[in-house]
Amino acid sequence: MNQYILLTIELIALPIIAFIFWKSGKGRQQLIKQEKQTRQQAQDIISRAGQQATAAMINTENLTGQSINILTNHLKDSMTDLLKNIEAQFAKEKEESLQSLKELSRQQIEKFSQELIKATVEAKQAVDSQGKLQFNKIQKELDLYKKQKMEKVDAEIKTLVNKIAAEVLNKSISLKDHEKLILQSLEQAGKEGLFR
Amino acid sequence: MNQILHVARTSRERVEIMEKLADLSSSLFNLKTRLNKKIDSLLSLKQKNTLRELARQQNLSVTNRSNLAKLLNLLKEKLADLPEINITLAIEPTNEIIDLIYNFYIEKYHKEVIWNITVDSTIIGGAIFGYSGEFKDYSLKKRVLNHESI
Repeated sequence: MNQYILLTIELIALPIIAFIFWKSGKGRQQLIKQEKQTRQQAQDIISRAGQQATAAMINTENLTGQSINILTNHLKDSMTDLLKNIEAQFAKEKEESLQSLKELSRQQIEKFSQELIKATVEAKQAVDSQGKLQFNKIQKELDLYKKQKMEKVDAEIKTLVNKIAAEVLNKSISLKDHEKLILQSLEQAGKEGLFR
Repeated sequence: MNQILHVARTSRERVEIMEKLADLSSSLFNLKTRLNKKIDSLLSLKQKNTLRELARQQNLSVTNRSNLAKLLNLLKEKLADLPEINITLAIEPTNEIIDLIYNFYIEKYHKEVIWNITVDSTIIGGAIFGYSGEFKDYSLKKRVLNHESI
């Protein structure tokens, strides 16, 4: 008779345990932890039920169908309590896991955000540095271009002035003036020892 | 021999007279040619006088073919040996200006040179000289650019 009772208990308890495993869907560690706790609780209940059944059998020599009903009801109540406890624990675990997940997500988002800010700052610095170099290069090229242009303009002005001066002076210098200038040049060259 | 080369004051004149002397030299071999007539037709009065002066100095006769050959060779050698001074002027020089330059040098240094004249109007006035690897600019252009008083 005891064997039947134990078998019945096990037949009821095992699907429950399987259900718990199936329903939890949590991480392996949580499942193992839950499984241990559940198994312990189930064993406690089975042990208690066994003890009660044994006591009933000892106290009652004539085991009637009523006694079996009482035992079955008692087991049923115990199982209901167990289920309630497990569900409550599961809900608690679920809530804790969600909180933990939220916290983890928050930390990861914060970390990601910081890394993103850091990367953005570094990228900006790199762009700024590159921009500065580019700016300096363009500035140098611009200065050189300006210098070349100014030199060209200077040369053109000089040429123009020379041309105008030459034209004006050539027209205004008489032959006598030319002779005088040539003679001055000869004397100057002589003084400077060119013809020695 | 002083100033007998007055006929060649410039490079252009030297080339011109050298060509005439070469022509005269070649005519010496033609015995039918009358030398006096040839000299008259080829040379200017100044050039003829130069040749005669040289003949007098060397006691040679211009009518004698061998004497004349010697004279021509001597004259060609003298002309070829004359040093050259480069001069740049602002205007095409008149005969008076060439004389002015030529005589200035003769009077000052008592020796003859050939003036290699170049004209460059951009120098405005004055002259630029190049001699014995030296270069001197006394042009009006330079004075204008250096803001010197003219």
